[in-house]
Amino acid sequence: MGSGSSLGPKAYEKKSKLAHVRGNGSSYRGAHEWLTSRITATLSVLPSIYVIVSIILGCASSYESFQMWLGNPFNGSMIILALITLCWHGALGVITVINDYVHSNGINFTLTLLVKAFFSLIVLISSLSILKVML
Amino acid sequence: MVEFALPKNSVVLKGQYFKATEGAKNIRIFDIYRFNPEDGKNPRLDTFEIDMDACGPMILDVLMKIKDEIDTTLVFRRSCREGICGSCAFNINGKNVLACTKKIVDYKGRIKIYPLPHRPVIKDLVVDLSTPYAQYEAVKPWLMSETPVEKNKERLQSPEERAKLDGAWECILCFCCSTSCPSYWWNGERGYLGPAALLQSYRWIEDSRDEEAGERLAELDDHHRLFSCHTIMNCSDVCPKGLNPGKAIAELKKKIVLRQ
Amino acid sequence: MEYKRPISPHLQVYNIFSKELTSGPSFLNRLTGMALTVGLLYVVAWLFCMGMGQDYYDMYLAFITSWFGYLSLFGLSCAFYYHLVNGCRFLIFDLGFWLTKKEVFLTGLGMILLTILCVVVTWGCVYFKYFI
Repeated sequence: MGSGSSLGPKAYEKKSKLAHVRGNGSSYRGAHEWLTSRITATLSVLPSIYVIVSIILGCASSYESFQMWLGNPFNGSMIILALITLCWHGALGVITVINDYVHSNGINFTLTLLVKAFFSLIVLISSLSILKVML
Repeated sequence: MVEFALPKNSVVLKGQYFKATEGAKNIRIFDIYRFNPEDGKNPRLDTFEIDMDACGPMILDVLMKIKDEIDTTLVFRRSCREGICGSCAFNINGKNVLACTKKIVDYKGRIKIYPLPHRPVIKDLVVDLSTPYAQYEAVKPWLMSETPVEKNKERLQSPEERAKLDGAWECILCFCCSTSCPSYWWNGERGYLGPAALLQSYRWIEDSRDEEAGERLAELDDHHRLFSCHTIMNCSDVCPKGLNPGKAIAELKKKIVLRQ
Repeated sequence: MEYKRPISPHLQVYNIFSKELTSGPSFLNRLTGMALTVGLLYVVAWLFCMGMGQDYYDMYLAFITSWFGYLSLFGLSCAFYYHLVNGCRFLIFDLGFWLTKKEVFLTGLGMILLTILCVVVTWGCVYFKYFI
């Protein structure tokens, strides 16, 4: 919707308030992001709690203990699952915040790309590190 | 970028101080937002000392007293004085309320009366509500039905079907809810319809006589229009008629997800 | 110059942190969410050091057991539990339950207490396991 004026149509615009409110119409696909955010949130609960409890119980207190813990494929799966769901949820969350506060379309788009790249990188680096230790 | 601070032309400066009349014993202090579009100055906060022994019990009575006896230039919307027209909606001590149904004794200390938040100010406590009204119009708040009805006969509806409209049809369009929503502050002018319009959209979708629920839901299924709601729930907290727009919005989201 | 009406005060006058626990918890949910992206950096650094070998991992352990490491872990754990518990509360709202004024307040209160409980239990366990 243009480069966002937060006080309605610009002074020179003669279009009606109704035209301004209707904008360019509904995208007919607003629920997807909202739903995925909730699904990734729900799926991240059990794996992340499992990892946190494991850490409290001492699985990561030394290189050897963590290496042994990761050697178990179930543990490795849990931590990778936690990371994927958390990073996906985090990316959607930050993008939602950007959409709320950044009204310039160009900056919004660029920041969204950066956010997706950032979280993808986190998943990639973490997963490769884990696989390196496991294999 | 969203402006969290007020722009230069909106910063509220200190205004005049109006002392109470001689001999007044039961005084309370009111800080009221003032803005005159004709003097080229910033908005200001005027302070009024009011004798409670010579004033009615509601905040609206204070505003009327000030306009009648102290400063006739004070401007505010009002009509029914009984909480049904929705005109006298202001932000009082941090919350959006109707001035005519709020008792003065319900507040402690200084009472600060500001216009509804994050709206362009026309004069004093009167704000521009053209966008909220346009959003109401945009949800098509009328019956859409192709099925013909016999002349002079009603479209029938069972009591159970009619009960679904309770909690939505009673809205008086005061816009306390929409202007209490931070998401509406940032995104109301760029697509978010706000709790008032969305509650009415829900009212028409739930109406069994209406046949265009699918179209209505499709129009709402947009990142800006409906899904800018982040369940902040200020709307339901603030509704002077006790309605629950937050719940209506949650039901709308469920309907949209379930029909996919 | 086009005449622009002033905008009425919003954050400046609105009671965001009202006792009804509506916008306050919601704002904190957003804030903790943003803080947790920093938390993910701690996680990725930890796993990266693990991948790079014993020396790097020992370096990371030294960092995380320093006072700064513990302080940031504490802060991140508060943010994590708050976001988790309030997230569950919001998920319940999204399912359509507990959306009356009274229930919003009661669940908000319960959420704060549960968050504090989680933080206390977690750090209690850490204390008893590693410092006694």
